[in-house]
Amino acid sequence: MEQLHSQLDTFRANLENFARLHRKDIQKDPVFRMHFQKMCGNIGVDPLASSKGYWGELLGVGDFYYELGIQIIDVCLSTRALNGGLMELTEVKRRVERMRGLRDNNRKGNSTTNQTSGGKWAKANMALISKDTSMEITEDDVLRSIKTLAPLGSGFQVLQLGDKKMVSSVPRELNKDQSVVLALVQKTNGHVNVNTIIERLGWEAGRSKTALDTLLEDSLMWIDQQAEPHEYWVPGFFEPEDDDMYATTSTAEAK
Amino acid sequence: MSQAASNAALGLSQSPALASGFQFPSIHNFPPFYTLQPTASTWNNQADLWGTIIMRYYRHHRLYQLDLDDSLTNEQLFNNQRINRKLKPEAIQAIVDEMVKKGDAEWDATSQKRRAIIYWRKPEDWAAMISSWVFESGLNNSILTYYEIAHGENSEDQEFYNIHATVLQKTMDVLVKRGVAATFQGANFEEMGVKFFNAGA
Repeated sequence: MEQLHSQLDTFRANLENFARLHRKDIQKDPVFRMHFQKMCGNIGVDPLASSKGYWGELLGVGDFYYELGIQIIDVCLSTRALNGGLMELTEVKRRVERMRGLRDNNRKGNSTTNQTSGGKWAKANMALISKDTSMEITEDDVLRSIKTLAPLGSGFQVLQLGDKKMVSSVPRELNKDQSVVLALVQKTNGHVNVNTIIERLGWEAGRSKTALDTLLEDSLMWIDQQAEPHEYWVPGFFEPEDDDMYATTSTAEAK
Repeated sequence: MSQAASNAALGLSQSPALASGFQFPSIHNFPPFYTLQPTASTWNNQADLWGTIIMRYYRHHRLYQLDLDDSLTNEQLFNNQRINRKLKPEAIQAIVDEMVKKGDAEWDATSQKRRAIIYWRKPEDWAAMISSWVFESGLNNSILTYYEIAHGENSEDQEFYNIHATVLQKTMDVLVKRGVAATFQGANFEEMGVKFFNAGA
């Protein structure tokens, strides 16, 4: 037993050294970060569980995931109005990346308008841009970050629907039927009606209708009553690459 | 010219194909957007989004009055031929009701909810704009008519050129209430006069 303890101590010391040495890589290199996380996970150490404590201070990983968490919250809340708080993981990642990338673009924009004012601006911009290229994130980072949000009681969680991972930002329990319908909608261009469900899932009309109506009540779906039969839509699956859908109240409104 | 410039400044510049048009956000092509959503929270968001689009559309085209019986003006706004969806008058009324609550619109009291003024600029903002124009142009020593403000040669390049009569009256009410100007009765609306006080500058 004693031997085991001393082995663990040695190992822990080594891990600390390793982490100290590679602190920069852990923060900046998404692949390296993932491997480090896995390594820690294998021996039962979770640097994130102690983000404000020992490991967090040592590595600064806490800050990394903290910042990422804030960005994820931002993305999810700013789109909740439309998607009812359910968004594909890949879409969350894409938007977070864009949010981080946007800072580059803004500064690039500035640098072109300020060209006449000389090299000072350009230099500053270069520094900022090169700094941000190291801010790449992976899906793994997003998943970890969401896990760290859980204790906040914010209701953030990742749901597996069909073959897609969805980030839910509203405390909720989807029942089985709702999950199955949402999974189906992924394959039917973001919208379904009662008949589609009857055909594709073999359910009775009543059960199909109930699933759709509860999804409507949970604001995960919108109804189109000008279609016959009524068509139910998941806004999150509608042209997700177009951000303006969510952004009617943003910059253009500033003036 | 100045219109194009100010549109660009508002971030509403158009792609060449839509040079004369207004760029709708993609939710305008979302079929359920034309059905009044039965879920309260979804409806709140839907009404907000419609309100924003209406304000932007009206500002873009310098429109002031929303008239449910004038299908031509709002043809593009509420009737999406691309997806064959149309916002019904009851839904438009419900949206304008929400805009009224926020002070973004006002029903014409005599119209039984058929006509509303859309305030993409508030009377307070117009008041500031008009009074600074008056003082900068040195027009503060004489009495101006409403016509000169809304349609005169001197105001041709101003944003408030061709301002809607109701909005102009509201704007004048603001100026009078603040003691910045006094109005004088005219034979008709356009001959109403206004005198700005120097102290108000």
